[in-house]
Order: sequence, then C-alpha cells, then structure tokens
Amino acid sequence: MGKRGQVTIFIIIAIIIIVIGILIYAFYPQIQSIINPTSKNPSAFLQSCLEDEIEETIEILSLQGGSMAPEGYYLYKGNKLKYLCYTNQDYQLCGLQISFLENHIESEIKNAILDKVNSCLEELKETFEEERYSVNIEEGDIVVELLPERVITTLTHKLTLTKGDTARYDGFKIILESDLYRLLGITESILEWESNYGEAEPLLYMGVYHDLDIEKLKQTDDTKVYILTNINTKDKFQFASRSLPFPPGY
Amino acid sequence: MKIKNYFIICIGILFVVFTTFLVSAGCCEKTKDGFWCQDVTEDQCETNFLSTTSCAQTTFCTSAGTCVDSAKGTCKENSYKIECTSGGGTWEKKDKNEIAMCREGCCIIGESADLRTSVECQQLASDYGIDIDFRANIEDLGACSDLAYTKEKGACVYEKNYATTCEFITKEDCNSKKSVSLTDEGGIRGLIGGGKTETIEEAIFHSGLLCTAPGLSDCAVSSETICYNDQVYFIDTCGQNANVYDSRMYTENENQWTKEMRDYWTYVKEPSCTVSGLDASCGNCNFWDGGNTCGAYKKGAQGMPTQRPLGDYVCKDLACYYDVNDDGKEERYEHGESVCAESEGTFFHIPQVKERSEILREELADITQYNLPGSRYYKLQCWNGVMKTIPCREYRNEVCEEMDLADELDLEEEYMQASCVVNDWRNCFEITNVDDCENDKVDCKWIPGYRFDNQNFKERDKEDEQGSCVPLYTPGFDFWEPESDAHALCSLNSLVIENVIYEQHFLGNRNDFGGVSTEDAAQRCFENCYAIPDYGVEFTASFLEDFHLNNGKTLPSGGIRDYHLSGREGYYCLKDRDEPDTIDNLKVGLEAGNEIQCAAGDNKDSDRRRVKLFYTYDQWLNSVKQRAKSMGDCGVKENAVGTSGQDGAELITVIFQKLKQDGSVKENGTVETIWIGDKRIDGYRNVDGGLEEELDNIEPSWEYHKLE
Repeated sequence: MGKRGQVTIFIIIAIIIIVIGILIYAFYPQIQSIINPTSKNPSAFLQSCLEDEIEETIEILSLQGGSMAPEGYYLYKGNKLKYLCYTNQDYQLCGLQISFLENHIESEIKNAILDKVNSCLEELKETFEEERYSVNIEEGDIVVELLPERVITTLTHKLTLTKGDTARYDGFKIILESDLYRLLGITESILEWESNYGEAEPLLYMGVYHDLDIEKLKQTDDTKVYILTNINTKDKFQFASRSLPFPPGY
Repeated sequence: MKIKNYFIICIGILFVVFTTFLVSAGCCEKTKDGFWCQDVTEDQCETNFLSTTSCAQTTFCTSAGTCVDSAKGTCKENSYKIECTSGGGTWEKKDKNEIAMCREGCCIIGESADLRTSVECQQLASDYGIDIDFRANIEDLGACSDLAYTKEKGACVYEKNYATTCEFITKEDCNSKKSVSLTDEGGIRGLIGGGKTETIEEAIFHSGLLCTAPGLSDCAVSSETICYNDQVYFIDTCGQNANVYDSRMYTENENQWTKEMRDYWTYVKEPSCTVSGLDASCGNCNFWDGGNTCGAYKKGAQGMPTQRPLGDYVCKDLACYYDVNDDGKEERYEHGESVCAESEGTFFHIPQVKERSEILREELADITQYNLPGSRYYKLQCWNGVMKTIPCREYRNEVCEEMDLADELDLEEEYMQASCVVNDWRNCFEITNVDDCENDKVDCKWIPGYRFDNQNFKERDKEDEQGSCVPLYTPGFDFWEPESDAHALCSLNSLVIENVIYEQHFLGNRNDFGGVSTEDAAQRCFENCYAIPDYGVEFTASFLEDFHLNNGKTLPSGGIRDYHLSGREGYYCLKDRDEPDTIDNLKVGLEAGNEIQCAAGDNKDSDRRRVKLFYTYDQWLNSVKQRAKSMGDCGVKENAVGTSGQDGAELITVIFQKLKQDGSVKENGTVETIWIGDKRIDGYRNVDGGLEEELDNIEPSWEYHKLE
C-alpha cells in the first residue's frame, strides 16, 4: 500500500473517531460533564463545587442534633448533641426546643453553605470568563429542601452565558442522596413520645422500619441520647432529650 | 421511787450534717445555656425573667397549645409559645386534634407510606410529580406502613433514547413516564448535566408481567439476586426485580427449564418456597415470624447457611449468640427476645413482681449482695443478629425485670422478654404497715422496729405497723458529687437517736458511773436498754420477749445479775395516767417479783408490760443498719466492683450526760464512738473520752467506679 493509501486510512479512522466522539458528546451528557465539567455545564460545575460542602454540613448537623453551633447541648463522645426536648425539673415532661426541626435544619444548611455558594458562583464566573464567555449572574436565593431519600439544594440564581449563542439557566439543583428526611420524621415522633410520656420505645420504630437501628442510651443525669442509623446507607441522626428525669435521691 | 442518777446515751448512726439553702427561681424565656422556657434562678437567665412564676403559668412560655406551620402543614404539640412564634410558627391555644389542618393520615408516595398531614402529603406528591394518595382514615403508623410496597407492579416498557427499555415498577410510576422530557433544569433528575433532553415515549404498563416475559424486552433471566423489602429477589440482566428468589426456579442448563420455571420468570407470583432454618435455597424471608431477613451472604458468618446461594444474598438468621451468664458458652436468643444482663452488684434476672416467691423476696432484700453502690441494671436486646446493651436508668431508678413468654406464644423453648421497670422506691416511705409494704404491687420491704414518724406502739395488735417500709431495690445516690444531696438523704431517714436511761443505785453517786461495768449498767437500765452493747447477748429475741411480757418465764440459771439484762425493761408506770405515754410522764415502780408496783399499788402493774421495739442489742443494731442501708448508698458497703466502703460513712456515737430529775441536762460528759462501720470500738463509757481524737481523724471517703 502506498503512502497515499495509508494517509487515506488514517484520515478515515480520524473521521470515525471524531464522529464517535461527537455522538458520545451529544448523547451522553454525563460523560460530557465528566470529561469537561466546566466548559459548557454550569450545573455540573456547581454540583461538583458544592456537594462536598453540603455533605459535610449534613454530617455535622446529623451528629449534633440538627444545629451547627448547638446551644443547650449534651456532650456525648465529643459531639455536642442538641437537646431537642428538655426540662431541668425533676419529674417533669420536657418541652420542644425546636418546633419545626425540618425547617430549622434546612435553614442551618442554607446558612452554612452561603459563603461557599458565593465563592462557587464567583469561581464559575471566572472559569467561564477564562473561556471567553460573557457571564451574567443575577442574584438569587438558596432553597434547601429535605425530601425522602434526598436533599435538594436549589440556587435560584439566573445565569446567562454568551459566546456567540446565549444559554440561559434559570436555576440549579444540587441533589444529594440522604435518608435525613425519614430520620427526622422518626425523630419528631420520638420527641412527641418524649414530651407526652417521658420516653419513647425504639423497638416500635425498628419493628416498622427494618433497615433502621435506633439506640436509646440513658445517661447518668437521665438525659437520653438517641442515635438513629440507616443500617444500609449508614446515614445517622443523633440528638439528646431530657424528659421526666428522676433525681439521685428524692 | 426517785431516780437518783440519770444518764442519757444518745446513740445515732450519723452520716453527714447537711445544709440547705433556698434560692428564688422563676420562669426564664431563654437561659444562658440556650434552653427555652426553664424554671431557673435569675442569674442563669439570659432573657425575660419572671420571678416566682413557673413557666407553665406564663403566657409566653405556655406549652398548652399547638404550634402550626401553615406553609408546610406541620403541627407540633408541647412547643413553647415563644419558641414557636420566634421560629415562624403560629400558636393556637387548641389541641392538635382540634385543628383540621393538623389531622394526620396515611400518605403514600411511591412505595413508601408514612403518617402526614394532607398539606404535607400534597407537597411531597408535588415534589415527585405524582398524584396525591392520602388516606385520611388511617391514623395508625403500623397500619399505614402496611400499605407500603402494596401497589401493583408490572413491566413498564418504553423507548428511551431510541432503545427499548423495561422497568419493573408501579402503574402510577409508569404512567408518569409517558411523554416526559427530562432535563437538567426542572425536575428532580437535575443531576444530569449539560442542558440536554431525554425523551421517553409510549410507556406501556404490562400488569402482572415481569421484564423477562417473552417478547417484552431484551431483559433475560439471571441467577443474580438483590435485597428488597426484607426479602431476596431475583433480578434480571437489566437489573430489574423479578420474583422472590427460589433456587428451584433457575438453572444454567437450558434443557432443564420447566414450564413452572418459565412461568416464574414471566408472571408476578407469590413466593413458592418457605425458609427453613439456615436456608440458602429460598429468599422468602420473614422478619417477624421467621426471625430472618435478607442480607449479603458471608460464608461462615453468624446466621449464614453453610451452602452458598445462587446469588449474593440470602435469608440470614437474626438470632443472637451471647454469653449472658459468663460461663464461657454463648446461648442462642431469638430475634426480638430480650433478657436482663448480669451486671455487677445487681440481682440477676428478677422475675416480674407477680411471679416472685417469698423466698425470692427475702433473697432480693439482701443489701450486702445486691443493689450495691455503683451497680446499674441493663437489658440485653437481641435485634437483627446483634445483642444490644440497653442501660436502665442510673442510680437504680429502674431495674430490669423479665418474664418467659413461651406459654403465651405457644413455644417449646423459653422466650424471654425483659424491660427496664421504674423502681418506685420513693413510694415505699408512704407505706406504714407490713401487708401493704410486702405484696405483689410494690417493690418494698419491711424492717420491723422504728417507724419514720418515730411513733412507738406499745400494743401487740399494732406490731404490723411497728416498723419502716423501705426500698426492696436500694437506690443509688451521687454521693461523690460535692453538691450531692446524698448525705442529707442518708441522714434524713437513717439517723436514729435513742435515749437509754440508767438508774444509779440508791447509795451510789452519778460520778461513779464510769466505774460501772457494762453488764451492771445493763441491769440498771430501765428504758431502751437494747441500745446498750451486748444487751441480751446470751438470749434469743423470742426468749426475751417471753421473759419480759409473759409472767413466769425464768432465766436458765441464776438471776439477772448473771446476764447483760434488765429486769425492769418492759415495765413502766405513768406519773399521770391521763397524760400521753412519753418519757416526761414516765416513772419507775417498785420491783416485786415479776411485778412493778406503781404508786399506790393499784394491782394493774402487770398490764403495763409493753411490747418493746427490740429485745436484744443485735436485733436493734441489725434493724437500724438494715433500714439505713436500704435507703440508698448509705453507710459502709462494698461497691459493685468489690471495693469496700470507707468506715467513716457509718458511725454509732454515744453521748453521756448527767440529767436533772426533770430530765434536763445538768452536765455534758463524754462523746464516744462505739462503732465505725462494722468495727466495734472497745472502751464504751470511757470517762476520759479517749476516742474523741480518733473520731476526729475519720474522714468519710469513698471510691467511685464508673461501670461501662
């Protein structure tokens, strides 16, 4: 085969590779985002930039009874466990310290990631500007939603990217798998028992939710540490409660 | 006859004197520690302190109402009003059930079901883009959970990105796939980046068919399995669920496939096998009745069958193997079964109160063996193959009791259920007779002798009321804490003071009393003589009871002078018959044989022999020690880890005084400690007071061992 034939074959192979590449690029956006998450996919950029921060925040909140800097806590194995129901009076039932735990945690996550969101958006802007995009970001809000099996963080910021064509993004969602929503639902039920009867029975819940492990650890001062764990995913939520305490003595 | 010399001995078990102080508390909106609505002192309060008013009485810290979040439709009872409103909620002074929005029902989202308000349910359905399925009439969590995983499922076949795809899902989920475009901007599937669109068209639901049904898709049978809803399921080559794993329904050899096997991979079918013991062939696990559930197969691990299953999952046995009694052998406990732990210093395996015999009750009452300082009861719960240790309340405010449910459940082998039961020891002190104290309703025990109200009945028919009802399970105190009430608590009911009255001989002098032997002092005693060391040491209590109360009982040999015994104890006369029977109204009559002649000899002396609290020193000593030590971590005891208590925690002190005829103190004498813990100190009635220095050197101290 002559040199010309070889060149032709190489050109054909190159064209095939390019076509395959374009097809992959066109039909598998996930792959596109993995190959170059920043160039044309601000969603992936923000997901990548924020998810560790959100995950870490959720982990801290889960270990501290839902507060980043808990006030009114019980120190358990180095963690400050927020008292979600508390009384300082012997033989008295506790009162809720946070009425709407879900709202509170959503708000805590929002506040904890606020700075990171701003820095990620700034980084996004710089990255795209380096690629000669004209970038416009309209201020928006951060909405955190705890939902079954996931936590969704929505940035309502509007992004316009212009480089010849204009692409407009009306918001971004960062979705993390988490069982926190269900754990909080059970926590609230436990707190209802604690505040009405002074005690909750973990087996009642474990009998219904077989993938759940609930520990109730009674401490010396009659504080109860509850640890809820999803056996499969290892998602955890722990908190403290003090209800109907009996003193040492009368 | 005049009493020439009095000596009063005040004998007490002294623990520690305590002081109390009262501090004015009130309701605090938020404490410095960050708690809402607590009754604290002003210096502990951060905002809004209302002195001398409890939080329940205030308008801002009341919790008698419901906090409502109307946006999400959630409602909370037992919230404090101020916390509720500061968190954006609306406070309503009504019960939760009186507010229509707050009524919960069963909310079914996909395959999960949970109790929610209708607004919450609507919100969730909206988030998932599905129709709301809210059952207002189901208000029980168990009944609601039963509705999970009950929706009909089938093969949902559709074209996705120009390829035929099959999913084994509910009809509802399948319908929601029709003509849906998924992008990264709008729906929950926002993870998909790039702004691209996936198009699904013509999703068709095949009710009752699996994805492996012939002609539906390219999904094929496989030996792979997965855990789903506690059971082991086959999955096909597309990763979709098929029926419950049954090893008889799969073979690698195509020639061995039967119609039954093909049908099993075509239609949705009920499980065709049952799990028997450790079984690798069937995935029909049963969490409750069978005590097994789906789990990853690990060869040789606890609860795993020896034979390997076809896939990676198997019904694993959830029973626990645990050495409860520390004999080196692990016993088997069923999933859900629980027993009491054998923790140091506690009574092991207390049966429920109704199942206790009299002998067991006596055993339980042994304060030297059980409920020792530092001990705590624990429950062991077998769950999911793990024996979990569940602590009962500290300070033995709870004890672990257990019962065998084998008969009730119609089981051949024992099936124990243990529970941490409140030790209602505080209630014991309210009980004033032996019958109410020792029955199957309360956990108390009766100590004959002193009463808490210090009344001493002289009549025989009140013997059942002459004593103290104390806790059967001795509670614990935080005695090692500087601000502990333990010392006060021990002193409060365990301190006894007994006045022993001696009579000096007619020709004797009170100053000569130091030279009188203990034996002689016992014979000169006529009131509360049992508090004299060695009093009645030669006799049993029942012999002395007969001797003092029943005429004619004679001593084994000789007379009173040969024994540590008083011939006068038990006899008495009153100065004034119409006045109460108190020490101030007491006088001694002339001895005449077995009788005492009071005043004018009215021949009623024998009627005035009275029932005594105790008849010997040992009886007295044992009673006061038992009562004191049953109150809590009082006195000298060995603790749960076998360390002895310090003697300074338990003292018996004697004070000698000279009294005037009217009973008032003429001159203080010596103070002597005659018992330090279980150690008897010689030198009783040591007129030089030689033991005072030794007493001063005794510092109550203890060791505390935290048991994990």
